[in-house]
Amino acid sequence: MLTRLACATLLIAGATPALPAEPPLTLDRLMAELAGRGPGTVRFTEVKSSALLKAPIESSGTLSYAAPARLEKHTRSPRDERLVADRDTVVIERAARKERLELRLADYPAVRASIESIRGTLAGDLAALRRHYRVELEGTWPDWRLHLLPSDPELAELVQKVLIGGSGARVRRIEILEASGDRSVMTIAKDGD
Amino acid sequence: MTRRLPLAVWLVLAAACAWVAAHARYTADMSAFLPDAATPLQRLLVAELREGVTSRLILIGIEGAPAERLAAVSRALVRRLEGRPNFAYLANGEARLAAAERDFLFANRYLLSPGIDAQRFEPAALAAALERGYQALASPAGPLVRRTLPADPTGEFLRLGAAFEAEARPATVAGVWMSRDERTALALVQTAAPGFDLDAQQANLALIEEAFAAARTEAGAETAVLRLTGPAVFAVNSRDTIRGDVERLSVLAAALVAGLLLAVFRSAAVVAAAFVPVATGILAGIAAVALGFGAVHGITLGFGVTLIGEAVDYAIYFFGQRREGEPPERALAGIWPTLRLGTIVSVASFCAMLFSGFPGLAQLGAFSVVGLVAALATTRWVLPAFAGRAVAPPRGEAIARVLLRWPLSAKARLAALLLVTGAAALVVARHQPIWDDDLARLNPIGAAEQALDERLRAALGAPDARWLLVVAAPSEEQALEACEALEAPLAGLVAAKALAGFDSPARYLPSRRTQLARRDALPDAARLREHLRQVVASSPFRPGLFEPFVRDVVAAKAAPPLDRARLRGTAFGLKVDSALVQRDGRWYAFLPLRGVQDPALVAARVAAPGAGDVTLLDLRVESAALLGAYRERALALWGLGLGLIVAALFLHLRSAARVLHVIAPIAAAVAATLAILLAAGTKLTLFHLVAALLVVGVGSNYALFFEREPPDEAERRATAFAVVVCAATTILVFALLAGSHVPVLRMMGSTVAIGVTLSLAFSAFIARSSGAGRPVC
Repeated sequence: MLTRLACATLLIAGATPALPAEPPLTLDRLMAELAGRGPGTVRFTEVKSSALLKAPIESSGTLSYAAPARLEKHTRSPRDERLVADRDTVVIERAARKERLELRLADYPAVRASIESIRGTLAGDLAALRRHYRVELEGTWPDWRLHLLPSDPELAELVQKVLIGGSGARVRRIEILEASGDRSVMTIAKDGD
Repeated sequence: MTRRLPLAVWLVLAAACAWVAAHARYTADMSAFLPDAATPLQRLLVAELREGVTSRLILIGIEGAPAERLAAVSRALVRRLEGRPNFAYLANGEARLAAAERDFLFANRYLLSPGIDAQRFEPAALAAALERGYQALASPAGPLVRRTLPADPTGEFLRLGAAFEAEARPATVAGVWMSRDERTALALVQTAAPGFDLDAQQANLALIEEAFAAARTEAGAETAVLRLTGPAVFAVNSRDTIRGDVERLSVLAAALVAGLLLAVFRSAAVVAAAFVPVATGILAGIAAVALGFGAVHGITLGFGVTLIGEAVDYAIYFFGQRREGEPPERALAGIWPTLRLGTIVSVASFCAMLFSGFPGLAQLGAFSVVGLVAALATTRWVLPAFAGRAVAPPRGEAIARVLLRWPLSAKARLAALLLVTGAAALVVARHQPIWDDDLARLNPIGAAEQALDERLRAALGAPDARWLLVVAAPSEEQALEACEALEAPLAGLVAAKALAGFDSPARYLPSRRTQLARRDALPDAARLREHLRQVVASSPFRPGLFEPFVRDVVAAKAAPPLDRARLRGTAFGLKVDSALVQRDGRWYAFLPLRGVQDPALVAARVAAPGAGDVTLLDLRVESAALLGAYRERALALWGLGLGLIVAALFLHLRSAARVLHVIAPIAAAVAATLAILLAAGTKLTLFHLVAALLVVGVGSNYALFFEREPPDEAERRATAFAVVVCAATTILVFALLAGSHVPVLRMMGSTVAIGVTLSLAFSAFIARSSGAGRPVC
């Protein structure tokens, strides 16, 4: 009995290090993986549903990130629009209307919430994420989910939760649940798709 | 008996002066040295400098810890200062604080937004607004409009917010303003007290420092340090610097002069007696200024040190020329006419300052005049009581041999001096530029403090305050209407790239007329609902969504127009308070311009009819002009002082030849001093002129003593000896002053030290010999 238990323990202990080629999924390791990806551009589609609207809005475009803090969201459909966030400022341009809006993220928590969550994740910058969110991780390497819960009350008034799903060093899905009940789901296509 | 009465009077007066001096208020406001009666515009600028909102700003930098810690300290600091009546406005970038501005803009959007007219609420315009709103909601800016869209579908709030955003402001880290390198957390406070109220400002600084110490502990960032800057900080620090310097230098000068006198006269009694007129003069001077001006300026106290150099001479002449066993009264009678004339000459030169109308200079003048007269009177009536039997040891021979042996004839020496004067005057006249137009150079703040100020200002994105439109009007309402009339031409100039941008108080506080027009343009509830009903059905928005919009428009239509009081405590209140002021019964609005490319075009467009009384100011040129005008008046006063001196000399000496004999060495000394300063790369300021007056005052004493025809060789040597000792003490004191931390005192120190040295040399150079016609030595 005792021997069998000891054998089982040994088996488990011996088996664990041999099994996965990858180390166990931890927040630090995931962030390091994400940070290791460096700059790049991916395509996205986004569906926004709002209590204000009769029907959801669908849009698509590209998302680019460059270290240390530049995020560009270029929406191509239904209208050409660009959002460039760099450090603490964001520029929103609507080509068709020749409009340009420059904002400071600190003044617009609603914009900051989504930008910081996307940028922080793509950058693998845990410190940046933790500045605004409590970060929780679940899942496995091939299918992980980051739960970002606003840590400051001001942000919590706007955003209920940001849910980011991914696989390995790739982010696949970013879902923002606003406190108002509005929701946007951004799906990121595979590289080269 | 004859000595006791003056002694008693002196004791009482000196005690009274000491009491007044001890209870006097002290200031260090450098604008006291600015002219106050130039053009109305300049008067306005000086007043703004003294008490305007910019004088009330304190810039705060927090450094020496990681950015996150600094941010925590910044938040804790502001929380501790909030709600105190000392501070009218606090900002450190926290959204919590900016919320006041956002709420203000949102609540008053229908009175503030330039987009409001009757057309805005017609069905066609509303339909277009809803389409824009939908596109915005779908865009990356969606979250921006999500909250406000139901109440503000026409986007007035966003429009106002964007206009406010256009200005440069610092970056934020962890929710507070931070420098680009993330080493300095930044904050800004506006004090309730004006910048020149140094006692209030000192209390404010202490409050900030105390709050910082507590905030640092609270945030667990013990390494963090506080850096404060701004006009009030400078003024308070300068007062401390000046006070510290003056105290240190006074003690040092007194000690060195006492040491010198002790070495020369070998009598402690003489040294003690010599300081009686000095101390009396200083006390009387301070008391006179305190009573006459309400407060004593730090620079005036600095003059106390210089008075040591001049008033101690009286005792030196007395002891230096007193013969063995001579009763003090008789010794004094021998030099009294010359002493009196010397004092009259000095007083004449200072009188010009006294009546200048510049508060700072008038103080210096009053202090010097009263101080010298008091010192002279003390010498005349009190000194004999302290004189005892002391005399100078017979030491004059060596000095006289060196100083009074000149190979040339008297005439040739006079000619040589005139030649020196001419040559030096030529050097001065040909030197360009002679004058220093940088106001900052007068500031007693160090280079490090100035660098800190520039750094924090740049980090906080304070605008380049060079170009300013000044609108003058009889009332606040008319000033605001004039600002609104300027909006269109200025926007045109921005479009034409003659100008990068501008700000106007009317943006935050529109004229009553404009506000009422906007209010009248708002539709009533029934009409607005009907219009909405027509357009919402065919829009992507849910019906009934815009009920908050109807509610807000109805409320705005019933709201009273905004006034200044409603802006208090917001950044807009700060802007309006600094950009819309009342002075001398007129209202002035300031519109700062950014990036002026074509000043001529700007000036031409803003002067268009209907814009009212508008002036385009280049502050750089204006402040130089201000200094220039100031200097011209100072020069005129200087000329007046010289005229008074010559008149006084004529009245007493009654001979052109004798007057020339006194004036020639002084003129040569002053001209040569200025030439030396210019050749050494110094640019001259007003304080050099004041110092030159001092040289005239002190040097004329030497010239007067040397000009006297001595009865015999012993007397001549005694004179030379006394004058040399006097000059030595003066040079000593002013050389000390030249080592001061306060630029103004430093300038005066070096100028007078050089000038007095030359005065001594030149006066001795043409000294009369004993007995007419006898060869020199």
